Amino acid sequence: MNLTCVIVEDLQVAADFLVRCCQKSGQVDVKGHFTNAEEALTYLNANTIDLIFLDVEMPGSTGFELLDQLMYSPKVILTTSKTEYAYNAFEYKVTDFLKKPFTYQRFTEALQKAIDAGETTVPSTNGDSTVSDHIFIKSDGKLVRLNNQDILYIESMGDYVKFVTIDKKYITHNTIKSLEEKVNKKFFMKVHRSYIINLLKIDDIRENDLFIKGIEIPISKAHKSEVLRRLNII
Amino acid sequence: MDGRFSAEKFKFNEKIDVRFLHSLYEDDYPYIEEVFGTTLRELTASQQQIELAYKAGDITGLKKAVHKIKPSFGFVGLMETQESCRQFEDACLAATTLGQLTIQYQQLTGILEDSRKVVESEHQKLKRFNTGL
Repeated sequence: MNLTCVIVEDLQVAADFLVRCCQKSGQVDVKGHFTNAEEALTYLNANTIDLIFLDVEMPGSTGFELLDQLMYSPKVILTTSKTEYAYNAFEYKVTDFLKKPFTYQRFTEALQKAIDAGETTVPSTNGDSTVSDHIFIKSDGKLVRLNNQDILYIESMGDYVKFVTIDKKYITHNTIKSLEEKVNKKFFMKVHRSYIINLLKIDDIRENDLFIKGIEIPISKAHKSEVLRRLNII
Repeated sequence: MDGRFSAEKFKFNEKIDVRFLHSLYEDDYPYIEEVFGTTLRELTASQQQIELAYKAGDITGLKKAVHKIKPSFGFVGLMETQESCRQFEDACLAATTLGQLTIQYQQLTGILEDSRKVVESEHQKLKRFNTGL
């Protein structure tokens, strides 16, 4: 199966060349091209991608700042014209480092390293749910798959919890305390003893409440500083 | 330079490192034409950014603009221009005032303009070559 990738690169000729290399390899599907880190981050936190071809110096945030804010750890191949970033590349455990302009031969070497590095760090169905991109819940006598990106929040109802998704609500026998350990912590966090929310779904925060699709959710004092720390506040 | 590549297929400007160009694109001339066209557009925009940053006395912005365009020259085989950009970036890092960059800036803008003309001329030649004119 092909790797999925995005290209984060503000130089068009370099991005075009990367797309060409990916197509020529037949081993990578390019899911998108972004010319700045902010747009890439929005996409990457909503979509699980295997590999990022990442420029370092771009308008706005740098490639390393993007990696700091990413909620999972795809493989990364840095594309830069500066060898000075090699140390940072090592620190960020990137798969490889392509100095622009690079040849197709050099590209394939880097790609092979990414392929050899194995699965991306967001495993699927049978993986640990704390790093998976979905969960299964028991509801109405069946197991229902809920993708993390579709869940808005989870609310306590005594011995039951309510999963609120974009278009449906599911009630299941469970507790917030138990779920806190089981959900993917990259996406979800407990903000109150009765609520776990999807960080990507927060529309705004006012005082001690946050709002998701118009629903007001309290933030406890104990969790407020952590909520603010996890947000992408510029 | 690789005479075999240029003589058999297309005669590039002598400033272009044909061997390196061949290592990137082999003999895919329609794609090479595309690369030169894209680079030409990016060069024109970057030259304006470089000028604006210099006029504003913004050394960081100047360095960023030169850094951005630097690899473009590599993609069209203008390795010496790429190296000039690298040297100018280093000069920007070392400079504390814009005055310290004046001479190098003038040299660089001359090099960039000459290089832009080469890219433009090669792009036109490639267009004619690829359409068989």
